[in-house]
Amino acid sequence: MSNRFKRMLSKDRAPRADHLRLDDELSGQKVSASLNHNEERLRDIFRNCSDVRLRPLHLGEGTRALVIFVDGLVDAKGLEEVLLLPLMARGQHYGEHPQSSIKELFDLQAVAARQTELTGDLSELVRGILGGQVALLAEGEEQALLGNMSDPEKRPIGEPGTESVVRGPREGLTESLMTNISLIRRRIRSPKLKFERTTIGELSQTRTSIAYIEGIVKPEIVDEVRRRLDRIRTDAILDSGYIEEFIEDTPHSPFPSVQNTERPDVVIAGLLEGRVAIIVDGTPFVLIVPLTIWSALHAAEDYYEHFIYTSAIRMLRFFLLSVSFLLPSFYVAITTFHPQLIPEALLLTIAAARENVPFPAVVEAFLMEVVFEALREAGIRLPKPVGSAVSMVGGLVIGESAVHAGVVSAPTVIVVAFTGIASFSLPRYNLGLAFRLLRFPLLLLAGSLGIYGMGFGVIALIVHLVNLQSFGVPYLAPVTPRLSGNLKDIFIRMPRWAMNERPAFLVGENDTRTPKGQNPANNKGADNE
Amino acid sequence: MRISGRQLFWLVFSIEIMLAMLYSVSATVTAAGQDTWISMLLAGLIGLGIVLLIVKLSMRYPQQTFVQYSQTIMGKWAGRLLIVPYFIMWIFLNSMVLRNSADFVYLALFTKTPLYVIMVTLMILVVYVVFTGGLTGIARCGELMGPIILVVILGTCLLSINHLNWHLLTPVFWDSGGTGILKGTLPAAAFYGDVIMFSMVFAFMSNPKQALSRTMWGIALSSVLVLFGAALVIMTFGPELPARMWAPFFGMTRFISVLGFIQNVDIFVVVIWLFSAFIKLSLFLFVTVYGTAQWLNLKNWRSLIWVLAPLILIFALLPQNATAPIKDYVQQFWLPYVIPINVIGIPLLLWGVSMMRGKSSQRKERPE
Repeated sequence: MSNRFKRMLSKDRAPRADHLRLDDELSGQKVSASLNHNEERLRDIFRNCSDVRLRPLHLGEGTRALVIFVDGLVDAKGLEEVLLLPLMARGQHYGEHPQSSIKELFDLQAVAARQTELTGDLSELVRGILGGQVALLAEGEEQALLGNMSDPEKRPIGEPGTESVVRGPREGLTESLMTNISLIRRRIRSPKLKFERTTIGELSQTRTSIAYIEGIVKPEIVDEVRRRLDRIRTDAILDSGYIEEFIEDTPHSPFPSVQNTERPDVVIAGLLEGRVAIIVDGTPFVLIVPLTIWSALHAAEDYYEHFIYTSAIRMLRFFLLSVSFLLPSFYVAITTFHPQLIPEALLLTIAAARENVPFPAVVEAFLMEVVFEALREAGIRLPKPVGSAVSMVGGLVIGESAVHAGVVSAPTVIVVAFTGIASFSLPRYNLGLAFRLLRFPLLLLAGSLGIYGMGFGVIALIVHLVNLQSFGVPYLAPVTPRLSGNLKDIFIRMPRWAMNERPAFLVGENDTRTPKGQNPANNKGADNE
Repeated sequence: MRISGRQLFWLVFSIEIMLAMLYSVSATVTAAGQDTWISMLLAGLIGLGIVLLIVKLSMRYPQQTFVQYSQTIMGKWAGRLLIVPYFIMWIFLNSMVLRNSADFVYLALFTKTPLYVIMVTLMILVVYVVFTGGLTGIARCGELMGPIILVVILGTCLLSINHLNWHLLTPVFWDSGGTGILKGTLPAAAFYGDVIMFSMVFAFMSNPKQALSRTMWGIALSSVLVLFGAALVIMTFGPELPARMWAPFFGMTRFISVLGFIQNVDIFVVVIWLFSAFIKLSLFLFVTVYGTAQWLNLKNWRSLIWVLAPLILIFALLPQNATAPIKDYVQQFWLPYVIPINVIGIPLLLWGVSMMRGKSSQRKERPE
C-alpha cells in the first residue's frame, strides 16, 4: 500500500509528458500486415493534413501498395521517375506471384532512393513521412519501406548579412540543416569531423546537429553539450536562440555564454580550436560553445588579413569596447564632479556649451543615450524605405535642432554619437549588447558618485566576469586564469606560423596546430640555394 | 579553490604596492631625509626576510593554512590560543585598511559625500567577490588588475621625469647617516609586515613549490617601485616637504603636465588605488573569514561574512580623522605589537618548535 502511494507521489513529481508528443500517442503500435488497416490508421492520423498524400498503387494481381509522402518536402520529379514509374512497370511483370516479389523488393530495399530504411514501428513511420521521406506500404508486409527523397524548398546560399568581410569567403549559412552541414563538410574533409544528430521540440521535431572534431575537442565539453541538449523539453524550436536560452551557464547574466554565427568559416575556425557547434534546422545561426569574452574583439577577417594590420585593428576594437562602455559615464563624472581634470581651454568650451542646458549632465546624457537607442531600434525595425526618414529625423532634429534650441549641449551629442559608433564596431553583436546595456547603470553610478562610482561599477563588473564561465571554461580565459601562458590571439594576432598551439583552455589532446619553424624569413636562404 | 603561482605574484604585488607607495615616504623622510630611498632598499630587504620566514614555515606544512599548522605544531589548545592575537590583527587590519582606503578616496575626490557611503560601497564590492568567488575570484581579479596597477605606476613615474631635480638627492648618506637611515627603515618595513596574511593563502597553491619565488618577486617588484617612487618624490619636493604631506607620491602626480594636455592624471592614481584597496580588502576579508571559520571549526565559512563584515565596518568608523589610521595606528598598534609578536615572534616560535619536533606528518587534508 505504502509502496503504491510512494509510486503515485513520484509519478506526480516526475515531469509530465506532453500529450502532443507523437511517441506517446503511437507508442508500441506496429505496422500491421493488412494494408487496409494501415491505410485507415494513417488516414486517421493525417486527417485534415491536406499536404500529406496517400497514393495507392497496384502491384500485379490484386496486390495493392500505398505510397505516402508530404507534398513539397519531397522531390516530386524524382518521386515519379524513381519510385512510382518503376513500381508500376514492375507490377505488370509480377503477374502470378506478386507476394514473393514484393517480399524481395522489401528485403533488398530495391528502391532507387539515396537512403532507405525498413521500419515496423508506426511512430517511426509517421515521423519519417513528416521528415520528408517517402513511405511504401504493401499488402502482407509488416514493415514499411522508407526512402529518403527529401528535397524541401530552400533559399540559395547568399552572403551572410551579419558578419560581412572585405576579404574572405562570402558564403553564408542558410536555413537548411543539410546545406549547412555540407558547407562545413566541404571545408573539412576528414572523418574526424563528426555531426551527431538529435531532435529537439515535441511538436517541431527540429533536427539538430552537434558538430565537433574528434581528437581536438575535450570530450567533457561534448558530453556537457549532449547533456544540456537532452534536457530541453519544449514544444518547438524556431531559432537557435531558443536553444541558447536553455543551455546557457548563467541565464541571469547579460553576458552570453554561447556564440552565434552565420558564417561557415567561423564555425570551422571554432571547431579547429576545440569548440563544439550546434547546428539547428531552420535557422542560419549556428551556436558555438564555449565562448570567452575576448571573442568580442575577434572578427572572421582578422585571420585573412595581414597580422600587423589585424593586431592594430584589434587594439582599436579594445579601445572602442572601453569607449562604448565607459565614455558617457566618464564624461558625466568629470563634468559633474572633477572639472579640474579637463584641460583649461576645453573646459571653457564645455562650460560655455553647457551654460544654457537646463538638465544636469547625467540626465542629459541619459536622455541622449535613450534617444540614440530608440533611433537604432527604429532603424532596424522599420521597412527599408522609411529607414532614411528615421536617420534624417535623428540627424537633423535630435542633433542639430536640439543643440540649437539649447535642450542638450553639443559635447553631449558628440559623446553619445561616438559611443554609438564604438558600440557598433564590435564584431560580436550579442557581446556588444551586454556592454551597451550595462553603460546605463554605470552612467547613473557616475552621475551619483563620480569617478568613484565608475570605479565601483567597473570593479563589480570585473568580479562578475571572473566568476562567469561557459561550459566549464572561465569567461576571461586565457587572460585570467592564464592557462595557456600565451596571448598570441587575444589582443593582437600573431602570424599563422607563430600560432603553433591551439588554445590550451579548450583543447584536450593534439594541441599542436602548426609545426614550428615555418617563418618564411628563415626559409629564404634554403630557397636560394 | 586553487591559485596559480602567477596569481600569487600579482596578489602580493597589488596588495603591497599602493599603501607603501603613498604613505611610507612621509613616515621615513623625517629620519632619513634625502636618503629615504636607501631606507626603502633596506625595508625591501627586511620585507624579503619576513617572506622567507613565513614561506619557509608554511612550506613545512604545504597542505595546511596557518591556523591548521599552528595546531599541528603546538597541539590543539595551545595552537588555538596562538591564533587569538592573529584574530585581533585580522579584524583591525581589515578595518584600518578599509578606513584608510575610504579616506584616500574621500580626500582625493569628494567634499560633501559622507565617508560612510564610500566605506559601505567598498564593503559591498568586497563581500560580493569574497562570497561569490572566494579566493579563486580574488586571485583572478588580482591577475587582471595587477598589470593595470603596474602600468599606471610606471606611467606616472615616466611622466614625472621632466620636473625632477637630481641635485635634491645629494649629499648621499652624509646628512642622515647610518642611524637616520635605519630609523627610517622601520616604518617603511612595517608596510611589508602584512605579508603575514599570506600564511593563510599558500595552502591553496596548485603548485606549492612556487610559493617562495612568487611571493619574493611580488615583494621585490613592489619595493623596487616604492624605492623609485620615494626617489622621485624627494627629487620633486626635496627632503623636508614630504614629511608634512599626506600622500607625497599622490601629490607628485598632480604636478605632471606634458604637452599642456596630459594634466591632473592623479585621477588614474585614485583608480588604481581603488583596485589595489579592493584586492587588499577582499584578500584580507577572505583570510579573516576563512581563518576564523577554521579556528572555530565551522564548516560553512561563507556564513561568517555576515558577522565579520559589519564588525569590520563598525571598527573602521571609529577613528576620528584621516591621519589616525595611517599614523597613530601604525605607531601605537602595528609597530610595537603586531610586528614583533604576530609577524616575527610567533612564526619564529612555531618554526623552532616544528624544527625540534622534526617534519610533521601531513595529516590534515588540503582546504577546499
